Amino acid sequence: MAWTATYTRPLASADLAHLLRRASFGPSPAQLKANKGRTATEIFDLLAKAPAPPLPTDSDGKTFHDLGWGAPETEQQKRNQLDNQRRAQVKKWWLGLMLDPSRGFAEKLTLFWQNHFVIESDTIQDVRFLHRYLETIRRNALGNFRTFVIDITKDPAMLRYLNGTENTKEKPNENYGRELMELFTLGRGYYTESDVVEAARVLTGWQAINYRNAFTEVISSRFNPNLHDQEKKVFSENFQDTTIEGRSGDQGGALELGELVDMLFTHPESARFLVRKLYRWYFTGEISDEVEKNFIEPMAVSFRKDREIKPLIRRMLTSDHFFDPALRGGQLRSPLDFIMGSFIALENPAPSHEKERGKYDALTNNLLNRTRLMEMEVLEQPTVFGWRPYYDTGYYKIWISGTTLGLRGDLTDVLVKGARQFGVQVDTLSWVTSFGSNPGDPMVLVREMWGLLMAVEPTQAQLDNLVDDALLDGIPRYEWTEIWNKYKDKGLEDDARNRLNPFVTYMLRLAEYQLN
Amino acid sequence: MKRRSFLKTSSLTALLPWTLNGLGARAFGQDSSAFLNALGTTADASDRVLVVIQLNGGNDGLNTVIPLDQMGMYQKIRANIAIEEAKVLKLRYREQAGLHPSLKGFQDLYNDGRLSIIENVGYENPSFSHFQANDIWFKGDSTPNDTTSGWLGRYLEERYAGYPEGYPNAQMPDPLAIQISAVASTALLGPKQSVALAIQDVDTFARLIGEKPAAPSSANLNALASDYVDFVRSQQTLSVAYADQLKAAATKGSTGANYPAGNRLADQLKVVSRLIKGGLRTKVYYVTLGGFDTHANQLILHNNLLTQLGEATKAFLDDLKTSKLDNRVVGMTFSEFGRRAYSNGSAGTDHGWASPQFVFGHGIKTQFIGNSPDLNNLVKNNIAIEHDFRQVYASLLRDWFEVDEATVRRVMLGGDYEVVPIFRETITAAEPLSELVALYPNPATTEARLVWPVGEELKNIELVDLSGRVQTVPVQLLESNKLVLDLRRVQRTHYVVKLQTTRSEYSRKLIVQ
Repeated sequence: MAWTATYTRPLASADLAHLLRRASFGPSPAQLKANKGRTATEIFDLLAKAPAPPLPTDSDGKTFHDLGWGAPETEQQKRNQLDNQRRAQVKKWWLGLMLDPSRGFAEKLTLFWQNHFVIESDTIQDVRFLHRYLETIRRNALGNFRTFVIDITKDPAMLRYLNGTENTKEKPNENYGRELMELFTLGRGYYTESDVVEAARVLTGWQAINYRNAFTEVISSRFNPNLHDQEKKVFSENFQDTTIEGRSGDQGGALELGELVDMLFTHPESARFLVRKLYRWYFTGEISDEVEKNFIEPMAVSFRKDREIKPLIRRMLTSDHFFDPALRGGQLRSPLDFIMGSFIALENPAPSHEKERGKYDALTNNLLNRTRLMEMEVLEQPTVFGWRPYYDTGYYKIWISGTTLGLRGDLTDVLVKGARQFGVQVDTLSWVTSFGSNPGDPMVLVREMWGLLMAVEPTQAQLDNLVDDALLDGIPRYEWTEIWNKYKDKGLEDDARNRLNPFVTYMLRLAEYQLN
Repeated sequence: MKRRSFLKTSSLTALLPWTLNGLGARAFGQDSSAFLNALGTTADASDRVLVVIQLNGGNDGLNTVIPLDQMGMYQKIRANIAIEEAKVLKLRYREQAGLHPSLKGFQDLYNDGRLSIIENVGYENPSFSHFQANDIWFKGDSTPNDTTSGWLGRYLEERYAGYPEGYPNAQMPDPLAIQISAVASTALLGPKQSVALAIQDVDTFARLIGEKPAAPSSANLNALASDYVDFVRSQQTLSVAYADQLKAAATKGSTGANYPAGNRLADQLKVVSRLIKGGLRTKVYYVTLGGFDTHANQLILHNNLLTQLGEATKAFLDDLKTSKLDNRVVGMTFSEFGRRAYSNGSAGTDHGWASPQFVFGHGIKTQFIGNSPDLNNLVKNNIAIEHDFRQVYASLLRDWFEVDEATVRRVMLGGDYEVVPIFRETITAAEPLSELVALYPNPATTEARLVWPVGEELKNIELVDLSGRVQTVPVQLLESNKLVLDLRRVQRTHYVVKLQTTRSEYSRKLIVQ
């Protein structure tokens, strides 16, 4: 197998579902139909085209650009309250976007970057900073990684989160300098403690402005040359003893920052580091020596040339290796994969943001609470390292425990049962009609439903058991055909629905449904 | 792996006239005397519980236990965050150190003999990375090895061989470990999988988990998928199997009334106490308090965190005491690293080396282990390591869980770590002189009489041999301040008699001939 060669064949249904599971939050029946016969590259290019999302609005339909951070006369307490509500609003708005299958790729990628350049909304407080940070991420998500690193370094929310704004010539603060190397570009072991100190010195003088300033809507960052360490900075042999000359003047900070990033990128680990991290996001957790040599390294070599993100992800997700059968089901669904994937597979779209605002808020609020319980709340990673399953021992297994399995099962139970107050309402009969070629044949029905929901192939014994025990509970198979025909021909729904609903609930609690 | 020489508790032995090494956690054994029973005993080792509190982010040890013996230097190197000397909370019999003003709860526990402070804990070549440092503490491995299990996971796997195959069973009907969270810590990873049940809400757990689907397993899966399916199935099976036990325990155990509100740690410890009270035989509980990465504005942040820590722990132990279960429980705090001795310019502290660890609960014998950090001998502005963290782990395993040495060595990945005397007797020079008590005859042969000041009520009396073992001897109370020890059946050797009254503690040497 040529690991990095492009997988050129038109995708079989299982390949297509695999691509949609990994590149986005999973397939919808409509997507599977619409993309039949396309190649991986064609589909990737379609997925990557999603337009920029609309701005989040509050319940009066106002965007953050319309709102100051509380009028000057607003009491401190009121301002805090407003901020808390609006930060939750940003998160809910993002969850709403994830429910849209056409945005799946963009949102999963945004999530990757939010988990790479972590900030925690709790620490940031001022919602304008939070939102601006998300804009920085979205703008750069498929752009150039050098530009991205520079933009995020100067991003006012990041300047606050990792104390860059407090990092001055007189009182250096190492926090951002360390994470820039350890978490954002290189990984542990490729820099020294003195490199941390020198990087912090390069970064002195950048400041976030108008944090929680109620008198202006303008938030930004700026470079203050008076707070910048204008002496030269000397790095270790990890960077060939590079010296970054101290600069004065308004452009000094930007010049030194550019040189710092370029210097970090001279390290061969810098390209590998990001490729590995994307691999753990889109492929699987463990990276064998074989994968390192045959996949990571060649991807890193080409990425190193221009640091362009889009071609890198495109090459990775359309490679022969990506479609290797040994990787099918090679992830456990993250809570967001699970939640969004379930909604999308069951074709239960979010209520309209404009027309059904009450339901939309109720649903996204409910989902936000669920992600919090499952410990994958967006913009609230437990530490600057991001969510543990993407770096820690055991990888995705960390998501799974008795509690989280229970919470997952509870969500899918609710989905099938329906919850009108949230706009959750799956009609299982029209759902199976939407993807089933012949739902009257119980074996065809179950096999096709399995194909839509599961990342791995079933055995015949499993299918038989599902048909005879779980769906039909001992009655002969032809009786299902009669039940289905009664529904199809005469509109008698009850028998069919009474068998189908518990069956779908059961399928969604199977261990195999946790695989991605 | 060789223990490093600097880790020997040399400073301790130098400071003390003499140290008794040996097991001290066992009290009076099975003596049937009504008097002795009234004193209460330590729970049998099989009922003992360890509660681990992770302080995530790197706790600033130097503002937690403050070196009262070096206040000049302390003020100098962290002027913008130094705690005023007058506000530092005092420790009984320990003038050299005090606690952060927010740790009133810990002060109470310390002065009540229920808290031990182990100073300057860490390991050689410390990592400044949160992740790597946490990983080292979780796994008990400070070398760049491929260890994939946690120290508590290995211990519980040793104790309950083969887990999860065949569990739950009659010998161990309950989860081996419980973490109050949705996801379990690496510290609880066994060689095969996590030994912990992660629970957020004991009241809804049974309902949420539902029934285990009975469908046949997948076959012909690739290695990755097959491993994941097996793992999920085993989690489903165990959760369903444990759900009823948990529900029963949660229903039976009541929540103590005096937990502080709005305290994230107290919320978790409340659940732990309820499960212990409900009769679960779970060995390890794991809770977390995050937010210790105080790079800026530390005074306010740290104050809030330590208030939560002290109040929650105190409320937890008091709750257990009310239910008379306190003799089953000890707790341990840990944080992945301490912080820099010098503060930074943002009124915060950057990542550093050593910090103190706390062990609290029953059976504490030595309350202050080690010395205040030596601020005149910092290593690149960092606090030098005095104790390896695995010494604390080994002490808990040896002396609290009564694990044999060979097993402890295996759990410690072959390392040999000297036990610190948390649960062992040390007679410190700082204890009050025992002139107020009389012990006679001394040397003694068949019996010895002990007299203490009138008006002080007897709380505890122990006869400890030179290897630290508490001896079982019949004791008879003669008057309210006088008792007689029956020495006919003890070995002819040197002992220390430790007397605890409502007012004070006294110890005297005793020779039995």
